[in-house]
Amino acid sequence: MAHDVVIRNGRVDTAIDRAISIASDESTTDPLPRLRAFELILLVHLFATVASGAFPRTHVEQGMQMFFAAAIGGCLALWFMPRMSRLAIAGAFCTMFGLQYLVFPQTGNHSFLELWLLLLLVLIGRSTRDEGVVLLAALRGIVAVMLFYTGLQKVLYGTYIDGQFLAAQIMIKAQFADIFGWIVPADEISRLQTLQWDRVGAGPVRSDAPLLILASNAVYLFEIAIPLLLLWRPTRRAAVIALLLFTIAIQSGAREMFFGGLLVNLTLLFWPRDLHSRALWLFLVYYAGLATLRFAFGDMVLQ
Amino acid sequence: MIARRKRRLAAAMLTVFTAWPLVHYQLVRVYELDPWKFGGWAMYTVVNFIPKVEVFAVRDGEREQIGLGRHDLPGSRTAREELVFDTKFYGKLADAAPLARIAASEIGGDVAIEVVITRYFLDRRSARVSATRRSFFYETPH
Repeated sequence: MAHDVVIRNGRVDTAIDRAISIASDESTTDPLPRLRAFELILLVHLFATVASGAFPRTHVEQGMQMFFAAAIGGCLALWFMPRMSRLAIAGAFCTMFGLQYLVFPQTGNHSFLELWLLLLLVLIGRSTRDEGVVLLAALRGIVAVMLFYTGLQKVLYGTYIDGQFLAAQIMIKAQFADIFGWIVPADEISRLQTLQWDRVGAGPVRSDAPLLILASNAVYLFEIAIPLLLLWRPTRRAAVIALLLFTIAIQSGAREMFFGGLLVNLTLLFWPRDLHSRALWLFLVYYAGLATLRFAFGDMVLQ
Repeated sequence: MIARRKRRLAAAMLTVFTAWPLVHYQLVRVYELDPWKFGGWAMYTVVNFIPKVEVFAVRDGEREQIGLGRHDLPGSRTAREELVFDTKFYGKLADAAPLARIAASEIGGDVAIEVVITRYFLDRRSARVSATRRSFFYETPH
């Protein structure tokens, strides 16, 4: 009986080792410096997000927001102290969990992602090189699964195949009409914008513009394919570049700039060498700029 | 040994992370939860319509819609806003009974309350705005 258990565990462990090796790098590069920089960028992202109020604030008073911002700021300061970084990440997890408890059910999916990332950083850690390899593979796995599902869900809900969802966005949001203006004829845009989307029978909310339908189908195909290309070593670098360009293109429309920053931070994890340490100052400038814009112009400009 | 445990832990967490969106999809189908929320990665899949909640007082067989303007029945107005919020996120799991109770107590007397919830959606086949309507009747909601 005990023998069976040993064999079964062995198979599971072999499968886990194989999965980790697929998500890891070929080279013997030490993952710890990039993970350290990744953690710092994540904490800066959380601090900028909470301090500038880039989250649903229906149930969060301003004083409470300041409390959570101070708590994340404290975690950020603690992170720089020797041997305190893991405690700082644990503190950030508890703070973000508390904030999302208040925000729930309005919690955005990116906030769930942040909690998962923090939980992985706390539970797996990066005190040894082996832990770092496991952590990096797990973080890459989270990103790959998330991207895959964003595409798969679009297929399951079926609103992208005939361009229905993008047509609806043109109908509802002026910014989408601006973006798709160069691939959808002007009279079609006008028709969609005059539909009363809160009236039963309004429609049809779709467009026959071939480029819109092409773009609509390309979105979910890209999201489903990119995780595989990110995980397959020969295409990894090209996939990172493609995903960065895709993120910039999508976020120019959706304007979720804080999530865009998080996604870039996550995408760079797939690059075979440490780019996080080199790009650290760029992230700091980016988040400082976002926070400043949020303070100056509020929700109207950035989410 | 510790590294082995960490590897298993990472695998377990990834398994949960991978399984949840499939559970999420089923919950959305069955209970009409908001697909944009609850960490299922189904944001930007459907149009986010705001549901409509109407309240009717039924007395002696007469059905009359209750006006919930700024100065009328403040408790009912707040309860209706909460029900709109809950319906948007929790779908069929939203409970209309608190609204009925508050409306009945604010109106007073022997009154039955009917709550009608309208949810809008884009019909996939016709690509037109459609709606489902659910009615909840409370005989004596006090």
